[in-house]
Order: sequence, then structure tokens, then C-alpha cells
Amino acid sequence: MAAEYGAMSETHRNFSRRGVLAAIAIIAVALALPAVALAHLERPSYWPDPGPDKSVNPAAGGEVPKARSLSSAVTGKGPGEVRVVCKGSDGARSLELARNSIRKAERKGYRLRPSQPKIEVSERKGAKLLRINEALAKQCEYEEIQPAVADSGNNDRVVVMPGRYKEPTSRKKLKNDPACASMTQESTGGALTPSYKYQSECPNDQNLIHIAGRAVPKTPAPSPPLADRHGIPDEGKCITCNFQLEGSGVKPVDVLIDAGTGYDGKGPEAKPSGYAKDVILRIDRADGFVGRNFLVRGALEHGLYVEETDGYLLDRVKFFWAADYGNLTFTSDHGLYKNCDGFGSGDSVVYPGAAPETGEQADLSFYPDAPRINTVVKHCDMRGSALAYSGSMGNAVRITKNNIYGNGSGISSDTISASGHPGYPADSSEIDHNYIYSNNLNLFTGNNPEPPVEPVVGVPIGAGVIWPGMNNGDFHDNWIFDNWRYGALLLSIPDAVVTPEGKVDAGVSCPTAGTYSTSCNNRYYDNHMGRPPPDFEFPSALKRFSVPHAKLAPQMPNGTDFWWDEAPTVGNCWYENTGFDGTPASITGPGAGEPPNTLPSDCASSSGPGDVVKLGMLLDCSLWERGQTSADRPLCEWFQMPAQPGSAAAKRDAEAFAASAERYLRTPEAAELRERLEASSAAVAQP
Amino acid sequence: MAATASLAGCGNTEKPAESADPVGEVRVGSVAPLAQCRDWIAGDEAERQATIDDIRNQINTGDAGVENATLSDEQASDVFDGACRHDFAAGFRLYKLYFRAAAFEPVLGP
Repeated sequence: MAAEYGAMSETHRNFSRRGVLAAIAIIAVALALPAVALAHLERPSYWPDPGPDKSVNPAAGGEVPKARSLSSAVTGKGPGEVRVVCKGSDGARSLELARNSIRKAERKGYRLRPSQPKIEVSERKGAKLLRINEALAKQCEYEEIQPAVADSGNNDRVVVMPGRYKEPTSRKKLKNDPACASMTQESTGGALTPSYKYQSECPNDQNLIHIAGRAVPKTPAPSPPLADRHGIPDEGKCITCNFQLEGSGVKPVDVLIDAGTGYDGKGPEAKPSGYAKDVILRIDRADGFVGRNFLVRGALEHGLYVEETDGYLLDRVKFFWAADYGNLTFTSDHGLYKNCDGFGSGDSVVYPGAAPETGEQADLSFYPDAPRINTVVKHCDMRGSALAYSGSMGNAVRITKNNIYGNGSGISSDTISASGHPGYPADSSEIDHNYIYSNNLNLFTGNNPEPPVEPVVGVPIGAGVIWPGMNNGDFHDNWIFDNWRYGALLLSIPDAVVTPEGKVDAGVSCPTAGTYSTSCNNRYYDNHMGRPPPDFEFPSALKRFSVPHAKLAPQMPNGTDFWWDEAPTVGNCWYENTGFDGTPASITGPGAGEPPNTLPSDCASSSGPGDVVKLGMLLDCSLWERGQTSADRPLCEWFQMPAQPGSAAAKRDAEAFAASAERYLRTPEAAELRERLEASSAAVAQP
Repeated sequence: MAATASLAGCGNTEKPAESADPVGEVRVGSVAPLAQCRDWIAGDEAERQATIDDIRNQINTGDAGVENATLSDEQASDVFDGACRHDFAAGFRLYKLYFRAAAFEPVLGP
């Protein structure tokens, strides 16, 4: 990247001085900002009522729904009606595809996720699945999915037989149809966004397939939006709640829901050169939704989008090639993703944003069962993207037992108050029992060579996990290795730079609120850093984008295991973790900066001393666009490919950084920063 | 700075600023969710100004009592010019660049 820069600009020199004079309070924020996904723009959104809606039987929401078995789709027992979508006359083409896929699975098995062993399919099981598909073919009345969804009601299900569903009728629907223009919502500032009514009554304006779970109420959404985001103020009655959409193939890629155009190559992983719709499958206020066993591919924005929904299950779903998010879930409760797989996202594969306040700040009158986890992501492969996982205001989300590899960065869960994202500050998340490795994908190569995935956001190359602004997080029992810059980062977001959206619940957790309301009381323990788990093997998917990684060995170190900005926040602690040699002594952290370089193990007494070098580094990285050359941001390395830890190049890079830091500490800017940092620390000490 | 200068130096063939459309793919009257750096680079001065107006309007919704920091026309133009001149940023969403830069404004502004 450095070669693309010219001479240092006047703007940057002016900025640097100004920034030094003004910025200490901002600095931590600045650092965090380039690393986060920064969410998306959406209508004003509300957390749904978390209780079961008993107007339908069985009740909708209130818990993660249970999937109905595929075999029950052909018994006629219900509840609800079954609609079948297929390819070919009487489903002949779908049946042929099903037969071929079943035979292949019987012979060779299949891999549900690239990181997992093959699943064997017995002849008996294959024969049963074929019989089900033969019965489904006799029931088939639809060639496209959207009409089957539109004909469905509460408790109904749509079964999609093997095939590629391009949904030609939906594709032809006008985008930005003037006939729908009157159904926008207007913000206080006059900005227009598509309302729930817009999405429901013009379902294919933006979406290839839209599932409207509730009726459009006669009363429009409040304008301006309510400050208190608990409860959807314009919620209609259930019309498509407890709805299930599933593929009937052996494996998810047998049913391909496709909004892409102009594919390069063949097969389910082929890359589109264009997109017919912004979103492939949008699930809107559809409490009790189950999506199972299919692939969504090729979106201008998001692959599968769940919005304002209470109770959803995504099982065996794949998300390939979404320009922004493979899956986006927003202001939704009681959610479970499992056995998912995704790659090719310009932002992240999975994004549960503005998750409900069911953690330490829960309003118990609305969430009487709090504290509780509201969303679980487990047994998923998230790979080959700018980020594997992100989520602004990702409250009380659990990320567990996943494989996260081959991305620019792995996880980023942040408290950056993007407009329209309620739930400040993010808290009570749990990251545990994951394998997080080889996140060294460099997408910032411009045209030389062209990156395999076009990033829509800047992220550090080589980071496993980033928490900018998380509170009260639990981070434990993970295996984190071969991330060439950082294993896990913890950054602070000063209050001066956040703009909470909606009502901020009482009990902002940091005792340093007013200076730092975020980034406190996070616990990192029992993690295995810098070495792979027993019997680990690299998934072949890493080869697809030629992601740099170490050779498989007992020791596969991260650049720095635990990087901490050492900001004056409290209660953050790291204990009983082991490093590359299996002992606590080989843990590396908190990253290069000023002495004393602490990584406290005692949660009760932990308090950051502040670090001018790290603040300077964060500032350099955050304002990267203002410099012309790498010399304009000497402390920032985030967008350069890191060298493999332990190599001679890594040693040279570390020495170069140390020299830059030394030079920086002699500058007036650093002195100014130190003064401000000390003032900030004093404020924290006596809030 | 360069962008600001070019904004000021309107050519005779350009549409007046008030009639220009913003750059990028439109969603329901706004390019804010989808506009990318490559769109910015391809836009003329008036279109760029219209783009800044659109993004600022979408991000600063004023909803629920929230007032996000704003960038002036010159600041926004500098941010987009600075980021978008790099090939690697061709796909970056402009609203994300704007939001990040605006977050600094309370501290770095005059």
C-alpha cells in the first residue's frame, strides 16, 4: 500500500498538530473505529416483545423455535400447511438433482462445513430421503419460492426441493418503484427510509424473497422514533409467524437461492460479478422463523436478513458472496445460528447487531428473565471475508464452538454508536470454545493483485478478536493461534466520542462512566494461545484465497496473544491462559508500547495505566486516509501484511516499530498526549 | 484540500449543484447505504456535493434526541478524497467513512 502514497500533504501536517493538541479523549475511539463494521443504515428499529405471542397456536416467539423434521412435511399432520417448490415438470429436475446428490453422499459422504469431517450417509438413510423427495414432488405446486411464501400463513412451511432458484418474477420487480415511494418513513432530520409497510407491500423492491411475519398496522410508525426501543410500537398481528423454510436436499448447497448475476465459474462457490437485489432473503417481524438447509448467494448488501423478530433458528444455512453481510440480524431476540458456513463478505459473514439489552443492563420489567443470552452462534465456519463476525451493540450474544479462519480479522464486537443502533454500551457477551486461527487475509491490495473479496470497510490484517468497547465480557476456553498480528485485542471507547441511540438504560456498567463508560470488567481466562488443539488440521478452504498461514506444528504463535490499549479503564483481567509452549509464561502481551506493559490477572484491582505509544498508534490507524505515505502514520501497521511471528521479518518489524515509538515519544505531540492521558487517568481515579 | 479546490472550480459543462444527483446506487431516494468510493471518484463536483448532503442527512437523523457529529462540506470532501484515492478502498462504503471521521469531530473540530 505504501507505494500508492505520494508526498505528505499539508492537510495531514495540519491535522497532526491539531490532533495532538486536541485529541487524547478521542484517541481510543479513533483506534477502534477502523476496526469495526459500523453497522448499516436501516429504518428506526425496536426490540420485539420477548414474551410468547399466544394469539397463534402454538405461541410464536418467547424462545428459540424448534425445527419440524423434513419427514413430517409429507405426513399431512401439521401444524400448518406445507407448500413445495421444485424444478421441472412434476419436480423431475429436482428429483434428478436429489438422486444424484444422495448417490454421491452415499458413496463419498459430504462436508457440512469445511472445517469438519465428512458426514457419512447410509444407503438406508439415502433411500429414506429420496422417498421423502419423491413424495414432495407429488405435492409440488410452485416453481418459485416467493409465491409459496406469499400464500403461507401462521405455522405454515415451504419446502424447497434441490435446484437453483433465481426467482425470475421477483428479479423483474422494479427497484425503487415510485408506486412504493409514499411508504417511506421520515426521520426528524428529513431522511427517508423504507418502512415495514414498504417492505411488506413492495416485498421484492429490494429483496429477492421477503417474509412479512406480521400485518401492516393502520397506525404508522411513530415519527420521530421513540427513545425507548423496548417493544415495536406499530406491531401488527401475526400473519406468517412460526414459519419454516427449508431445503430438502442432502446438504445445504443442494438448494441455492441466488440473487447474483454474471458468475465466474460454476458450482455453488462461484463468484458473482453483479447482483439483482440488495437482500436475498429478508425475514421481517416473523416470530418463530426457522430457516434450514439451503444456501443464499450473491447480494448487493446482505444474504439473509432477520429484522425485529423474536424467536428464530438458522440451521445448516450457508451465506456466500454478499457484498456487505452474509447474514445480518438486527434488533432480534431468542436467536440461534448453528451449523452455518459463509465466505465472500465485504464486511462480515455474520452480524447480530443491536442485540437486545438482556445482559447486565436489562430492564427487568421488559426482560423479567434477564440476565440471559439472547443470541447464540455455534458450530459455524466463518471464513474468507473482511471479518468473520461483527456486531455493533452486540449485547449478550454468545459465540461458541465455531471455526473462524482465513479472514482479514476474526471477530469484532463493538460499542460504536452508529446511527440507529440501540443498546449502548455493548455488554455481557461471551466468546468461548472457538478455534480462531490464520486470520491473515490481505484484502487491501488494490489492483495488484485484485483481492478475492472486495472489502467495504477497513479492518486490521491479522487479528483474531477485537473488542472495541465491550463491557463485562467473558472470553474463555478458546484456541487462538496463527493470527499474525494479534490474538485478541481490547480497546476503549471514551465517552467523548460516542452518541448513544435511544434510551440508555440505567446502570451503565463502568464505574468510570463520564470518562469511560465502556471497556471494563472483561475477563479472559482458560484460553490456549499460539498452539493448535490436538488433532487439528487446516481446512482446505484456506487454500481458496491463498491465505498465508503457518505450517501445522505444535507451536503456531500469534503476533501478540493479548493486546490491550492499557487505557484507564477498570476490571479487565487475563488469567489462567496458556501460551505457545502450553504454560502461562509464554503468553505474549499487552503489546508494544510504554512500560510498565501490564496485563493484570487480578480483576478486582485492574486499572489501566495509560500508554501514549498505543494511543498514538490508534490515532495513526484511525485517521489513515489523512496521510499520504506510511511515514505520515509511522505507528500504524494495521493495513500492511504482518510478517509471520518468529520470522526474521517479524523481528525487523518489531525493531522498526520500537524505533518509531521512540521517535514519537520525543515529539511535542506525544508530550501533549501524555498530559491529556494523565488528566484522563486522574478523572477515572476520582470519577 | 484538493477536492475542496475542485469543488470550487466548477466547469461550464457541469450541472448546477442544486440539480445534481448524488453518486452511487440509489435506494428509495438515497444513495447513502450503497455509495462507494468508486462512485465518488467517478462523480463530478456537483454530484459529489449532492452525495455529501445525502449522506449527512441520513446519518444525522435527529431521531430519538440523537445528534451525531457532522462534517462540513470541506471536511467530508477531504475524507472521501483522502480515502478513495487508494485503489484498495474502491469498494468502501462512503457512509462508513463519513461516520468514522465525524466521530472525531467533537474533539478535533475548531
